[in-house]
Amino acid sequence: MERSESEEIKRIDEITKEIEIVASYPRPYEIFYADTYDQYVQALETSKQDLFWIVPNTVTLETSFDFNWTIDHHNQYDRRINHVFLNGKYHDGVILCSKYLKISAREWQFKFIAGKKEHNTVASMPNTYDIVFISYQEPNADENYAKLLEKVPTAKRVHGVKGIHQAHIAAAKLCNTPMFWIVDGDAEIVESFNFDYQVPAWQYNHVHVWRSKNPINGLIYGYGGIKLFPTQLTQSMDTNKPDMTTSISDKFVAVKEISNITAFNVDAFSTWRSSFRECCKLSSKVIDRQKDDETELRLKIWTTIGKDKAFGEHAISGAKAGMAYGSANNGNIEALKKINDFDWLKDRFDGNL
Amino acid sequence: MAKTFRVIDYDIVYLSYDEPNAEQNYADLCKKVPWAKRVHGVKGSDSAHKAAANLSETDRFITVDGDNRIRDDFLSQSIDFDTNVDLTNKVISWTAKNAINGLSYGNGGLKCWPKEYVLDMRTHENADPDNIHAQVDFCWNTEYIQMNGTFSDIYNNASPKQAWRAGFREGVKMALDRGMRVNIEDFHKNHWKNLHRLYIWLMIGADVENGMWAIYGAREGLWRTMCTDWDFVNVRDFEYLNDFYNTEIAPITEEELPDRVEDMGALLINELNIPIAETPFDAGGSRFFKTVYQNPARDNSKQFLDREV
Repeated sequence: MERSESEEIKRIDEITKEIEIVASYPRPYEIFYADTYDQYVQALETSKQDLFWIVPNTVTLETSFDFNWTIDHHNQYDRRINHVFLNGKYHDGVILCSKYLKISAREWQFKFIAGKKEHNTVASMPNTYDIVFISYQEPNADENYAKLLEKVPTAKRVHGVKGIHQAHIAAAKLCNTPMFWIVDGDAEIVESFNFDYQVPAWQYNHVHVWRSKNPINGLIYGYGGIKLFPTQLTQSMDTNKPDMTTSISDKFVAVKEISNITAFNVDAFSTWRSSFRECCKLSSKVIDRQKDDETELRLKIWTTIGKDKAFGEHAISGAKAGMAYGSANNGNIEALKKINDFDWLKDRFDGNL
Repeated sequence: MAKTFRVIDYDIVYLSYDEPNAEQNYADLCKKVPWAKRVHGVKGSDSAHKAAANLSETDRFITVDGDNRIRDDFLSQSIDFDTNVDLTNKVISWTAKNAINGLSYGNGGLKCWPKEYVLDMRTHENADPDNIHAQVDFCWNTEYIQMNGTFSDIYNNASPKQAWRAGFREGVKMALDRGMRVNIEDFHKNHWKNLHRLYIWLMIGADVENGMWAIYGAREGLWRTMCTDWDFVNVRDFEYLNDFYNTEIAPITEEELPDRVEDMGALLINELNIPIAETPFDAGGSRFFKTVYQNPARDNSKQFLDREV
């Protein structure tokens, strides 16, 4: 007579006498290091036990985590589902996988398992994301990069790549982590900012932008703030959209924390250029999710406040010119894309002056 | 032999139009289904579903309406179908629990559509004018597999307009028989489950915010459909309904609303002889009703939907 597994266990229980002597310990489950879905499937197919550990290479294991933890054979429910453990704040790291419940490619991609049990034991911490400093012609770039290196010695740098999109693609190509930080060449990072933000793996397609403080007009919002970008999506971004951030993903997180002062007012052209680009984007409404009243207020402040600050007149002049250009070219993608060409901006600046 | 349908294998598309709580509901969905896609602001139900089909990268896709929040356990659902069941053009439908009146049935619930079928169908605003069954709903022109499970909650009372529109649409649609207006005698021959649900829409909801607007909407929708020559096909047009609301309903104050509801109740009782009261259940009565009411199952395999803990 053929019995199901649970019937067999019940039968054995009924005919077994339990003796309180430790004769053996459960064999620990095999550990597989897997980043890709194919590697997971291979582990699923080759594991000699019906449960096995998956450890992604994006985490650092906690030394205290007990990989000898096992699930009793009587507990058929838990043996037939997947178990996820805390990776820092989220359950997106170590998985104890069951051969009975195959994880789909999509669940794997997002590290978001449907048939799962969440364990609040910290098994790992996420590896820190790569940091890239992007500079072009900012006079204060070397100084700012040096300060960044004092804070994070491993910070990388992309310098002199023409075109905003291309510079960020080059930065993404330097990185080996699923997300990477972007620090602009004119960013002076505030003391309290620590690059320790954790993105859950299921949000590895989200663009995150911190707030920065504008030294001329005092505005505090995402303009010039430190960004945390999805690495793969940045590498493959659509370079035809004027606004780079929304070229990467339509999923956006505005983090309500100040990361830096965007010290763009270091010379006349840099100041004018930054103001022109931002006010063009605001007035042409190329940034998704813009709120009209918020945009109008920002434009008003950009074009009127800060004359008394260093290069403040250039900021206001650039803001007015950018606002006019953006309004005149609303919907004209080709015209709006020019604001990412710094040579074109220089010609315009020279002409304006 | 069974073939297993797993929710996790299919794209999930959020369909919003102008729901006041759409952003919160979408954020909630993204927490539960990080790969959820979205169609927003597409006019017409048929066109919106086609937009969802075009977004879908799987041969079937699941729609979540803009006023709907899925429950945590939906993603891990699987269904074993007999291999002989042809699912090609079948829509799998789950019930959704309505926050206003506690009803759980197909209205506003999660549905899993075959992509090609949706791209080929012609309903609502795209319906053949001669196909009277397809003018205002999918359900009379589509084959459903009706599941008993409730895996989402409908919050269509975030504003008076949303609540009124939800009630009005159901008041109209539940008066119809296979998408067609019927006379009063035949109205009473409608399936008892539909009639009971309609009566509940007309009586229950005073315990939730804007619930009375939904009751008023349901009463007005039923009255206009059964007691006037109002063109019920307009029910499919959200812009028409918004205009109607703005001109006819928005001027009504909260203080005037109870009297308007009662007046409409009196009209319905007088003209349709339906077993409701002029005055809907008050907040306490509505809460009591929702606590003790058992939603009927959608098939004959059992009497009620599973009782929620």
